[in-house]
Amino acid sequence: MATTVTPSTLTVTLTETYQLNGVSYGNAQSKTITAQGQVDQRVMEIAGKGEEGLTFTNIIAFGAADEAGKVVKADYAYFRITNLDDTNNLILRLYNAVDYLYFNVEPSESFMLLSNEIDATTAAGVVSFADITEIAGASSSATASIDIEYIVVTA
Amino acid sequence: MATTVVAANCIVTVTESYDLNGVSYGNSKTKSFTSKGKILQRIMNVSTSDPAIINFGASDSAGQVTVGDYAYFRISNLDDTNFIMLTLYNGADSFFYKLLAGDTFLLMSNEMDAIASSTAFGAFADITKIKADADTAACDIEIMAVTT
Repeated sequence: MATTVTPSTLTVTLTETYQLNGVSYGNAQSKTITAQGQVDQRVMEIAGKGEEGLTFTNIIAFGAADEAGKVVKADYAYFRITNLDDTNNLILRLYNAVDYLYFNVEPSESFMLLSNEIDATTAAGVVSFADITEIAGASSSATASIDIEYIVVTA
Repeated sequence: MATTVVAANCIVTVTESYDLNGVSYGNSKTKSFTSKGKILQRIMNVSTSDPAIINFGASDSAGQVTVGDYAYFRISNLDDTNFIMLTLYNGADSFFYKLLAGDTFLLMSNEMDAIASSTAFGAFADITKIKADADTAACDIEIMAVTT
């Protein structure tokens, strides 16, 4: 037995359009990632952060094998998340099994990662990249949830 | 006296094209940054000595744009072989990201926090400096920063 899925090419294009003072700025950058055979694309709800502290909703995990909410870390190719809310921000958390990175994603903004190797320091030190193992999010509102869309593509 | 520059909209679109098993996945997501009047777009060469490529401060100056007017930043690694270690620094914490050959990294918001070895979220702070450290050999990059 063998899979009937034929891996195909993912093309990601970033286009900027900006004309200022009679000059066209911006560019179109494309990345082609060949032979990718797994995809997880989803629109989902992210709960409010809570009245006290900061409560996160797990979005996707990266591990040794595919399972519910998890894709194969070693096969990572691409991740993009978009905040579909029109009011509240997405507090995005990246975790590489050691460090936590937080980014603010405002309404209709997107955040994408063509590589999954990150590190963080709060002081001077040696940089040691490690693969992302978990991505989570919280609505900037204590009570109002937000919708997000994500796509993750793996080999 | 007044500026003759008329602020314009910067439109950024991320598009994925991916057909798998007879289904079209991906999307096209657009963000419009309205009334932006400043632009820095540059192709530059970064060394293996981890140079700063842009600063965000109180006002515009050489290599620096106004942090309070931040709208959009994008960097692309124009090298065909070597990766770049990208550093985002917010005045307290550093976030490191491996920007592979031909890859692009964008930031539509400039607020970040980085916590080493702890789950505790601190506080968002604006990015004040971005550095790029070429691995193995110097690399060309393109950067674009749009502010109000």
